[in-house]
Amino acid sequence: MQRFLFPRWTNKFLALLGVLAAAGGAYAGVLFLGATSPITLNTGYRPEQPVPFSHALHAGELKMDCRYCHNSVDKSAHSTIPPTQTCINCHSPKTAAGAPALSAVHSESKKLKPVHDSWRSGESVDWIRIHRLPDYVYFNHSAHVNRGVSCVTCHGRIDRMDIVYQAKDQSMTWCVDCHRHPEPHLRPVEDITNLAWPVGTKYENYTEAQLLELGTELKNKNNIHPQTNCAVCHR
Amino acid sequence: MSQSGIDHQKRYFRSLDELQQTPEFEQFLSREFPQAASEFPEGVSRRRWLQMMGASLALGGVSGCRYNREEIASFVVRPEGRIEGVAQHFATNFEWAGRAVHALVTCREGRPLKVDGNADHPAYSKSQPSDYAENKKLRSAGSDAFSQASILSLYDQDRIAGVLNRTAAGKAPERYLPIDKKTDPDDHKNSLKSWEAFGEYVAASREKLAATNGDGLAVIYEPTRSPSVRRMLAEVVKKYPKATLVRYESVFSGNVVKAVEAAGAGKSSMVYDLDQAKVIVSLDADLLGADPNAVHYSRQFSNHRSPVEAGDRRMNRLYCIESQYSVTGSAADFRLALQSSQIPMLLRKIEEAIDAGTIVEDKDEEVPYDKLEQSKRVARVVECIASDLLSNKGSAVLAVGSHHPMTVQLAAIRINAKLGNFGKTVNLFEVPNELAGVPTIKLDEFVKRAKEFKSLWILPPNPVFTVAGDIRLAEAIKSLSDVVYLSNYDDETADCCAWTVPATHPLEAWGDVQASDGVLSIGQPLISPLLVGSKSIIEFLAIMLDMPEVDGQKIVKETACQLLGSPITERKWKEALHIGFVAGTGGKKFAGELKADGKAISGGNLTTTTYELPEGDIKLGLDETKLEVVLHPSDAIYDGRLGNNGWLQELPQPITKLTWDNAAVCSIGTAKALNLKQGELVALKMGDSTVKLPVFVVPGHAEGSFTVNLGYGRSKAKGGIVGGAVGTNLASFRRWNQASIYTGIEAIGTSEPYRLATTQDHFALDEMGMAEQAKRSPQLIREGTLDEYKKDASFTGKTVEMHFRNESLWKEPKVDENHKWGMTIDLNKCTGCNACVVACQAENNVPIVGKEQVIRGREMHWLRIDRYFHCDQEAMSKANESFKDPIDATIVTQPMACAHCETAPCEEVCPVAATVHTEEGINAMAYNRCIGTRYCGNNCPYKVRRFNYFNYNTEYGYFYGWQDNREQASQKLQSLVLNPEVTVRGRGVMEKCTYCIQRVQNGKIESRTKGDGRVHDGDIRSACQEACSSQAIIFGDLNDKTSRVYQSQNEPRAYAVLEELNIKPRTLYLSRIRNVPKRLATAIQKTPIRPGHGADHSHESGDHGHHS
Repeated sequence: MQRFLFPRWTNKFLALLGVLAAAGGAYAGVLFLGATSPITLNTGYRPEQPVPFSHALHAGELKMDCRYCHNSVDKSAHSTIPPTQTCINCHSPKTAAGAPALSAVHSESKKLKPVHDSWRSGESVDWIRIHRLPDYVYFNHSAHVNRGVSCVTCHGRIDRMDIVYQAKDQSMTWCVDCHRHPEPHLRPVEDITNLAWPVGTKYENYTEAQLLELGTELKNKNNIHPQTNCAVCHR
Repeated sequence: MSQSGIDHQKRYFRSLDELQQTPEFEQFLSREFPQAASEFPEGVSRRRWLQMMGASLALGGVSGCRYNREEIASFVVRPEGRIEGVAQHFATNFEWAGRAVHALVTCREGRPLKVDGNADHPAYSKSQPSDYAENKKLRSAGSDAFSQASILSLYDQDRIAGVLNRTAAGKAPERYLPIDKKTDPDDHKNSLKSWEAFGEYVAASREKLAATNGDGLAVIYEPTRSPSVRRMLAEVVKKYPKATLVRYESVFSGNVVKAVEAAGAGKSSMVYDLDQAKVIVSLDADLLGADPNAVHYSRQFSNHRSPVEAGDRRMNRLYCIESQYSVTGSAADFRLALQSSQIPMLLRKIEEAIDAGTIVEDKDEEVPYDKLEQSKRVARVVECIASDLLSNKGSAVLAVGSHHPMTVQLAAIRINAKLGNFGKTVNLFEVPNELAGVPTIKLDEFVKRAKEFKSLWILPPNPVFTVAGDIRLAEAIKSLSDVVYLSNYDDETADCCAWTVPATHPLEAWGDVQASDGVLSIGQPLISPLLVGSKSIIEFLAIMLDMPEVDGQKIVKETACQLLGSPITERKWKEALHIGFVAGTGGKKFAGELKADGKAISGGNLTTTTYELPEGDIKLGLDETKLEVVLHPSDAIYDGRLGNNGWLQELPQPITKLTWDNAAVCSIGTAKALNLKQGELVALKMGDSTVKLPVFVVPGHAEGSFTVNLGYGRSKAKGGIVGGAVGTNLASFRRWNQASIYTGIEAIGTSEPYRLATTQDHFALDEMGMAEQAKRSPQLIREGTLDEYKKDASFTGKTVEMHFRNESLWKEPKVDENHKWGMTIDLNKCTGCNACVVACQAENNVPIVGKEQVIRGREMHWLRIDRYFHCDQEAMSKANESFKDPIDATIVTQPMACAHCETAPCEEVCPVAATVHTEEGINAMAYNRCIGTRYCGNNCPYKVRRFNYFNYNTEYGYFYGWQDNREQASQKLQSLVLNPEVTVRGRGVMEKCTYCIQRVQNGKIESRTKGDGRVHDGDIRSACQEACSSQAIIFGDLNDKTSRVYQSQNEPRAYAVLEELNIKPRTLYLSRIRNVPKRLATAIQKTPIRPGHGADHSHESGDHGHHS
């Protein structure tokens, strides 16, 4: 059987083929490294929630403590989204009699409709998750919060966000960086929910160096030795 | 010492294939996975495979760039005390596979996930080891494989979701057709509709029954330990005086109750107190395995297994005489294999020796036991047992198997009474019985009189399948038009019934159960019924009887009030639910006189002659004319009711290591003499009934005896996704009047091949070069006798000849100053009961893979129990010529999981650093890094690494063989059983024991957030440790000098398996010590070879001459 042979003149295209392959590889590389980086993927993720709840108003202006709603943050791995009941404590709807059962802040606001519907029907409000780690990562809030790592370290200035977005990239390097050098992120445990720290506390006038020194002191005092082996987060 | 002596000493083997070095075994030994293991699944061509792979690659790019949008459905009102992400524990009690389970259930996010023993329950709290009693954290209860696996049955997707209604037997049900989704795809609505229809039927039926006073109504029930169920059954007769109660036991144990009653103790329950027993003689009684109180007994037994004497505490001694090789037999100090049908004769000899009252001193005999002739062996065994019993009056137990006839039961009671054991080691508890005085009939009578009945309620699970073949129950049921069956499944029985009502799982319903000593234990629901509407037995009966109270909790509470004789306050009730039992209940100890004088018990309708034990010569060897078959409920699936439980089906059974099957188990000699081969079918004939079963040869099984497990052989259509078409059904062989022991058997080899899935050769540890090893290689298993231990406690180290200390090739890892995790496994306490294996599976999301894959050596268990036989090679080789003498084989079981070596060989070869060491010494797996080279598995000397050939847990779910619709098995319901604390691994990933890293990490975090910042001994317990009823597994911090794990690793019995590899495993084993009487010691036991003695200078030497 006669075999097909490429004519000689096609040889010059071989070089072109090489260039194309190299370019393709580079393109794929950029796409893979750049497009799949947590910085590109996650940071700034800002979905719209069923209720336009403003953290800037509640946590910022009204200075409610984070733990009023996220009350298991110091007890459990999860910080938990509050149950509808927590909202109803202040925003209870009007009952059939016409007066709200509890405190009635904006009891008839249209924006609060999903919350009121949930309260009446017993169905959950479906909030959209913003900060999401992969399933094989076992992050534990209580382990951090009880040791002086503030909310702001991972979540940014939530008290200034009208609509919450992911402020940090929350990649593995980002986690490991802190586990290697926790000092700049440590503060007294009683100040963990003070997102503006050290403003408004006795450390207000501390310099960077002094704060770092404070962190080192706390690290030694509380015996904080974060590990960086795989099993710390991956089980 | 002669070379052959060394051979004796070292030859531990796991199977006959290993002993004979067959090619099959070589494959398992030298390859990490057997040859066929990397092939594609059957039925998928290479081309199709590439197509599939290509498609999945292409699709990989399509899925979006960010994670899927995830919604969080928050609570409307969060339940009190609930903290998301924190496990909650609830005490509950239920009856499961004939046992009372006193459980502490772990729930996460409202979902029950793990069943463990409740250490606070009196059944366990009384028998806590003395050193644990001080520290509350160390207290534990342990559990068994059945209750560990009960959680999987809860999420079984084969459970029926609505009421089934059949117009004719064998027809598909008319109402509620979950299979046909064309007419109405909404399952839930259909289910509700079916309940409405059933409601109409019940109303009509009530009217009919009330009019006739229940004439023609029969209720089949199973004897139960639940007082509420008994009370409701009594209500049936109270409301409908003409109704008939039909008693049916699938697993026969009625003779014990009858014997106790005949001895004059009424309807008491007999419970042994092994804590008080110095000598235990078990005749075919599987006290530590199949006995309903096994968990409890294992704990009591293991409390006295330490060879170290402290005060008046000394090691107990267990004699075991049995036909099958049971868990108890493997734990025994001395075991004699004897046909079950000869046990009455032996018992007679023992009784005669006790009556004679001669105590023979236990001293070294000239001829060791194993060199004796057969007839003299029996005589010496009888003498030893009788002497031991006589010199331990009041602190001995003689137990006989519950499947033995009345004669044997009565004799056992008599002997125990003569020895003064009652009230001390054998207790009779007078447990109130609501059914006392209520007339009942047996199932055979019901079938005979079936024509007299019109309607029937069936409460036990699947009686049509579990009943003996000569009872035509199916036909009797079919002849009635008005039948209601309470069941979890659409099974063989449902096929005959007009109505099948879905039953609840015990974790979904209120209930109660009496502990063996009568303590009332309450069962509370952990989750509301997953399949809406399903009913428990008490709720079902309340509805059928039109009782004023149909709420489960109120019925159970009412029973409790009746038992206490006074109303229970709400506060006391809450307390009882919290601790799991009602304080102040419990049977009175029987203190009356037992009629136990003379040869037999007379009185009542019993006469002396009928209940005399038969006399006869004991023959240990094979008599081909006197073959027997002994039937036992399966160690895995009980009587078949747990057949649809994948964890149990794939659980390697304790002695045979067989999965997904039952077999005719027999001895080497019997197999050879009858020309039977392992993996071929044998036809067992009795009269005109024949059954064909695969042969499985177990060294040390009684000659001339076949042991077969019940519960297998469900039809493919009716057995469920998991349990259908597994094993062989014995119904046609069984006879109603014969409980378990069948004599007059013919066994004919058929040479038809049959594939058995046994894991006994899988992951065999290589001891390097079979010839050289006798001198050089260490013993994987080290054992000695108590006598040897007393002479030289450090014999364990001398089992190995070690001439040099290895220099490490690697840089030794830095050990963290905070924690150094380690584990000790005491081979002297381990009975090989399998509870740890299932506990590990439940905790760590270990998938099952199906029979096909098990045959390929792909089972995924992180923790396996290696079972090593040991027997005299010389006798073995002689036996190959003649089979006159039986071969006694002893067994040592060794749980084997990742040992977390400090210089782990697996870590050195991983090209992507997916398996790495933590500072605390745990060999961690980062699944996401793993690319599946399997180098680590190849380099692991313990062969404990498992590879995911498929997505067993997700897309194929519980995988039962390719091209089989069973791959749909992992539906949504089943996936609810997964533990959210552990990653679910996908295809192409290596996995192995992590020392329950999730428990370690959570324990550390908790010690800082809630505790004083320190992890105390007992704060962190691995799943296997928690499940171990005999406390053989200890996990803890080796840096803590007070911890039990540190102390046990510094015992002279501690050794590392394959220690000469210098890999420094963190899991050490404590050697096995047999408290064998001097007169029954074999030649090897008397003069063990200790090559390390004197040769290794690091060991201090005692002065005694063991070299001969």
